[in-house]
Amino acid sequence: MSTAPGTGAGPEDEKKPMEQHINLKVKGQDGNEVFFRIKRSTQLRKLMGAYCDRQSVELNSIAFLFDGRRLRGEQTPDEILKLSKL
Amino acid sequence: MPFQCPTSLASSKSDRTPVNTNRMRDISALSQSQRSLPARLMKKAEAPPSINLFQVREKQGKTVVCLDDDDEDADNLREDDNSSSAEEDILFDDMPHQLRNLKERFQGSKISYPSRDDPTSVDVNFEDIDCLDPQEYLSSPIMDFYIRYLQLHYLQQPDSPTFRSRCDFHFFNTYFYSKLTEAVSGKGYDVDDTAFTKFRRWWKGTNIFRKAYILLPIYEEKHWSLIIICIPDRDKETGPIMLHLDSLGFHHSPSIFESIRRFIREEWDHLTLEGAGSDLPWGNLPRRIEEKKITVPQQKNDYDCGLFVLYFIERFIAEAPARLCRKDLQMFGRRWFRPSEASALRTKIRRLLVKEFESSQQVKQDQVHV
Repeated sequence: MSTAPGTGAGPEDEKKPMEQHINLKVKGQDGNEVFFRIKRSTQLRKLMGAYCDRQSVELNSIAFLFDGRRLRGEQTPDEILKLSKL
Repeated sequence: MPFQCPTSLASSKSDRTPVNTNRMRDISALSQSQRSLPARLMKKAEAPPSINLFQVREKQGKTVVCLDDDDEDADNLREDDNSSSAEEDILFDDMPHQLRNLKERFQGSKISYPSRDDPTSVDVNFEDIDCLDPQEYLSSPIMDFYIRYLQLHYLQQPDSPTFRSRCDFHFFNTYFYSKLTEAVSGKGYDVDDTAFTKFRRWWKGTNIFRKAYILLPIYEEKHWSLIIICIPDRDKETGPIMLHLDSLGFHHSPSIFESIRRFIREEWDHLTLEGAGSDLPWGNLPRRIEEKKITVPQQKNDYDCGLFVLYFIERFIAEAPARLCRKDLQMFGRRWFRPSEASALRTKIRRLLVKEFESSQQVKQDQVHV
């Protein structure tokens, strides 16, 4: 088995345990990036909605992906991070 | 206020804070391949409107949208969601009665297939099914749903000799290829491998060289085609073989092969560096990665390319040998199947999806009764 030692779980994973917020970067297909700061326990639909409003695109016309998995509006950053460590 | 935002979602205190990118989580927003244009008309069609990302973006220093400055926002948001369906009050006059009933019944609902608890589940909104209407072009959610369906129904029953082992196949989703081209483009090897290193999380824990087949839908220029990477047996001296199946012959095979070749080489190099050498089928990656543009049945219209890709996958899973060698390529051909068989998937997939929506509604009703 190869689980990409030394690459997958990089410095990005280190965090203070009590930190409530997380910084998220949304990268569009055209390479542009938008940064969000959001609570770890907040559902991602909030970020998705805000992103779509800014870009003037329909929510159901784009897909948000993290490590290749499509994100759901009900998921929270905490849940996603837990999944990505499995 | 630094910018105007149409809803309350962006906090009123949208302050701009420098952000430490090392701790930044990356999310990609990709457009859904929603409506592909007739491929033959493509050259006339305009490129998709390039989204003007971030009009208020600053040249230096990043703008950060703070969403959670106070908790009221979250409550507002939930209310918004409930009220959003009212505007979709559309009349379906020309639609068969049954279909209209279905639309009323499932409007705004969503399923996760096979289940919400499955980490690789695919979400489908009922409105996504619209792309299965006659002459419409398939969207990513529907493509990903049926690919998932095929995996579950053709590849997961190890007891039955007619079913293939699921472990022999690796499927990438419809979003994969655009990330692949991004990750392998514009840079030489070993120069700056962070893009590729990040990209590797898409198949984390999987050694693709231990698979027999890697299937990879291509969506480019509003057209769908399919790449199959075949990894031959260890004792064969041939290297990987890339097959390109295109029901219109529209995609430019050489540039797709070039991206895939880079992907294979980079992944090989990463695995070797990690010391996974004994897990690799060859001591060295054979210098020749073969490429074959495969002759396949052609669609008779402009809109069935997605269905053809799905049917290529379905037939390939059913017919492929345990490991493919060059002589097996004769399984393909212009008469591999009748074009109408691929086109018939339109109604089949709709039926499958309606069934899924019905059973998910049943589950919800049962939960209410308990």
